[in-house]
Amino acid sequence: MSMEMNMNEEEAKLRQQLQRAVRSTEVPPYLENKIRAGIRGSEARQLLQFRYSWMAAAAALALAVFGGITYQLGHLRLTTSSQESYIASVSNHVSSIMRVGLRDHLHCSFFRKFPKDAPKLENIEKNLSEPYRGMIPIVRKHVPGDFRLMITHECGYQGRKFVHLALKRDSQLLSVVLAVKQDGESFKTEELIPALTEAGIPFYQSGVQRFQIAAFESDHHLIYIVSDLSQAENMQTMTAMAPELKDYLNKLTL
Amino acid sequence: MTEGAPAAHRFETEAMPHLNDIFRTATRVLGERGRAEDVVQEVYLQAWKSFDRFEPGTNCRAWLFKILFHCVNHHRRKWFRFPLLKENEEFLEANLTYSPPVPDHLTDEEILAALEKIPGDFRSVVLLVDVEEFAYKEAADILQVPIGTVMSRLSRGRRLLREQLVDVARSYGIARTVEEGQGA
Repeated sequence: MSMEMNMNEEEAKLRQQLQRAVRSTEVPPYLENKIRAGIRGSEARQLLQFRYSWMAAAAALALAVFGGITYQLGHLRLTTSSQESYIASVSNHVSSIMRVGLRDHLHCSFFRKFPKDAPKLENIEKNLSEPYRGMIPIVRKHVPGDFRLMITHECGYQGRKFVHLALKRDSQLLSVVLAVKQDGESFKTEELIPALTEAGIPFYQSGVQRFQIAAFESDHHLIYIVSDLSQAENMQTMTAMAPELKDYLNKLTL
Repeated sequence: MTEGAPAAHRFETEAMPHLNDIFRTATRVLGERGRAEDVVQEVYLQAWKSFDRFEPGTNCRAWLFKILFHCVNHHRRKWFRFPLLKENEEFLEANLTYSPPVPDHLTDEEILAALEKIPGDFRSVVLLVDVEEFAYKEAADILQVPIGTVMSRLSRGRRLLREQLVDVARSYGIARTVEEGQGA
């Protein structure tokens, strides 16, 4: 009993000595302030991180939306297969006979990187065969004045041949596309209703996304203007050009 | 203190008053004031960051000690070769023979020097239970060990401390007085 009491007293004494010794350690006077400063700094960092993370998320979202929209509108289509899928998806929105001109415009103009300066006329007119070379002055005469002729060529797309004159004004494109009729092809047989008839020529129009299509036909050709102009402006250009162009084409011996 | 009080004010009134206890324990566990300062700053920063998870009305002091030992264990792995319990057991086998009486007339420095010689696991329990006066259950929760482990480490830690104190006393010639006193 006495030994047990001695042990308890010993433990209590040890504990008191230990407490006194440990509690003799002084806390540095600056530590409290350092802790408070550290907490304030971490709060500021957290706030900044929060802001940056929101800004980054907003930027990523904006980029994704912008990228998605531009991809859907045909930009950022860098590979041939993605360009082809875009041409197919866009041209599905117009009638089959209107697709003829639209596809060639998309294939030859829309995905092309044009030089900043227009080439000299004498350098590009020789790309057209003699009969079609006479179209150039007619087209230049009737397109809005600041459109510059960038390309004239005879091209082929999906097994069909075209005569194509591509013009550019800043970021706007305009194509005059001419295709020889195949197997009795005609806007009339497609049962399209003309948007208007002027000088005895029925004009047809259609549009999808940024592309406006105006068309008419001569004896042997389907003629299209596909552009980024407004529907009215596009049709106006076509109606201005059509009589002279039709006369010229009807005189050609194919 | 209401639950709706701003967190900064609550932290100031509930957590900051325990700075002395946290710092002293950190110093004794780590054995160096510089490291203790770093760890204590980290403890309070972590406590502040997770203060929304602290339930008002519960034991803030025990919560801070739990964070302290979490930080200490993290840093001990970095700074020291963390003493494994197996080594501590070997230390005990070699050193614990009997429980000697505590000598009188020891200074705080001598007691702290003796405390520092005890392996970390035992020293932590002695500090928590004998100095900071936590219950066994609280100490077990702080150290994340079973309550039985706390009890056995405390018992062994106290005996080790006595051993060390006798050694210190002997080196100052005090132990002779103790032994003579026992023999009388």
